[in-house]
Amino acid sequence: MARGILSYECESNPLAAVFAYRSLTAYAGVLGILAAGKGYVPLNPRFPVERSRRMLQLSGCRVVVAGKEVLARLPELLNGAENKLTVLLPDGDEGTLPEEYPQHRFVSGAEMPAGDGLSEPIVAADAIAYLLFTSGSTGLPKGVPIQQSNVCSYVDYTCQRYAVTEADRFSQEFDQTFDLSVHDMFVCWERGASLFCIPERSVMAPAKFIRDNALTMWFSVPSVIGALARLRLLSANCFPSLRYSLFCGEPLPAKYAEAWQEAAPGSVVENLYGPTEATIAITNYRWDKARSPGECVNGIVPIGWIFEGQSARAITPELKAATAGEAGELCLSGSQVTRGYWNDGERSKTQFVRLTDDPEDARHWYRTGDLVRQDERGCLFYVGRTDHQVKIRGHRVELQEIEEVIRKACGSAQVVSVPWPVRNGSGDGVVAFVSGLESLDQGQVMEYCSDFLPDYMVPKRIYLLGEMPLNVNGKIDRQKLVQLLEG
Amino acid sequence: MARLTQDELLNLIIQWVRENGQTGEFPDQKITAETDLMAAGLLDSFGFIDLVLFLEAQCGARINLAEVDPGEFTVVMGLCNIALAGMEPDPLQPPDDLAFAGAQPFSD
Repeated sequence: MARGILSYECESNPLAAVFAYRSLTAYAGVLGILAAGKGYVPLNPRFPVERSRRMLQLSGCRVVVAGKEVLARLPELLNGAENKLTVLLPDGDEGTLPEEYPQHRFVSGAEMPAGDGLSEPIVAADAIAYLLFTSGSTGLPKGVPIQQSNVCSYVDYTCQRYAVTEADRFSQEFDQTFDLSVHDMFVCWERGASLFCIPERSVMAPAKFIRDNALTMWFSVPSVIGALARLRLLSANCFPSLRYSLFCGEPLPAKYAEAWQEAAPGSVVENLYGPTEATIAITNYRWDKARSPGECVNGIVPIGWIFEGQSARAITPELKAATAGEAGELCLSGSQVTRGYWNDGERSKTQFVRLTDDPEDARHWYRTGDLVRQDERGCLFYVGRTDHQVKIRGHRVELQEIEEVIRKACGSAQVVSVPWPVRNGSGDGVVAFVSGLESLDQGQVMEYCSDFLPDYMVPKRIYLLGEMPLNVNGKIDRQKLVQLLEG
Repeated sequence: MARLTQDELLNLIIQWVRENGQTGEFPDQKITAETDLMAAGLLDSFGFIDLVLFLEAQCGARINLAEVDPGEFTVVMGLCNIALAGMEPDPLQPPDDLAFAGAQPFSD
């Protein structure tokens, strides 16, 4: 793969794309691109093609490694592609593509050169290892380049923390367009362990897969626990092989952590937190069934402590350190934090800043937009997004507080509230959504809320949904909920 | 609750998928007993869970996916057979009200 990329790459481009899905080519593509001394840009055939095409264009990639599983979608991607591309098809045949798209070059598996004599690439520490795109507020995907040094820092720390050995058997749940997949692949491969790619149809109900493959390392979003519970696939000690169970990507309800710990009693359960800009995860909290329930706030597990060697601060809107217990925007700095966005100096200037309360501090800090509290011990508690802290009829309201009361009232952990209707940036009231229940007595829940919340925080309406809408990364899509109200 | 026949159950599944599945891109897509609902893009994993819970509610079955290959239960006929098996009383299990909670659900 690496030889093929180097042979056909006509320009010195630091990046190449992988268009594949949970296949051998998906993994070989990532490794081949890195072995060619370039960074990889994952494209997801499950995304709308327009989004993938935009990512290809923004990245400037001229080489695409494509798996046979995406051959049917390849023409859509190539239609309107602005750059002349070289498409490597290691396990596929180009068929009529060369005639249909004469402006691009296609290389079938049979035409790929042998890898003899390929030497290990010399790659600078600040070279890009991968470029991921997250949703951007402007409507264009936002490129986050992660350097080799960022990834090495994460992988070294994590391998040591979890004492990974070649006997370990890692889950691979996440799509490659979600940066948590980098943990699965590279923490695993760093120590010569085995990686088990979970078939798409088992991603949300992987119980049998975990048992059949005697996995020792689990990593997923917390929603998987809820899905397994609904299907009655969690039982005491049903996952005896697991050594570590890591959850990341969205708040972890205490109820989920308890249920998983019971299902995997021999496993250490940890809640990880980290934005893409800080490389996979940068804080962790180890669940302790005796101590942790008392440390949860609003039924949510703390995000815990910053990784050794990295730095975290909660700051005020004036970019000064928040005091212990005061809510502030989480800022991150250290060897895991990227330097800025891809070809977006303006946004980088806004999000990567110097703090004003310490003139000696020359570090750049990434403003996460996540609101946290830090206690005297340094433990971080996720409170919400800075943009989800809302004003309701002039009162400052934290939506998680409302959600926790509703959780208690209805017995479901899947609760989201949004300010609604919103006028001039301030909400007139709150509307809530609940899923995971067959029925809901709205009046009863609202009455319960009235017992605990001031009237401006009591939801005006509570909708019962079959499932919460999720975004491409499996997180609850609040925007979609607002759209439901608007629609 | 009257026990559903295989044909009734197949129709129930197909009807539910037509009403709730992701048929937007291909509204005329034919759904048969042999259709793999996830491979065909008609259901994602969350939609599939909804379908299973719907079937349990409709036919009083306890659909046990603990030891079933995913390649089997995402095909209409495979899911139908698992649901039918779930409607059979299990001679090794005590009735529900006496059952030991081996796979205890929790309300999420």
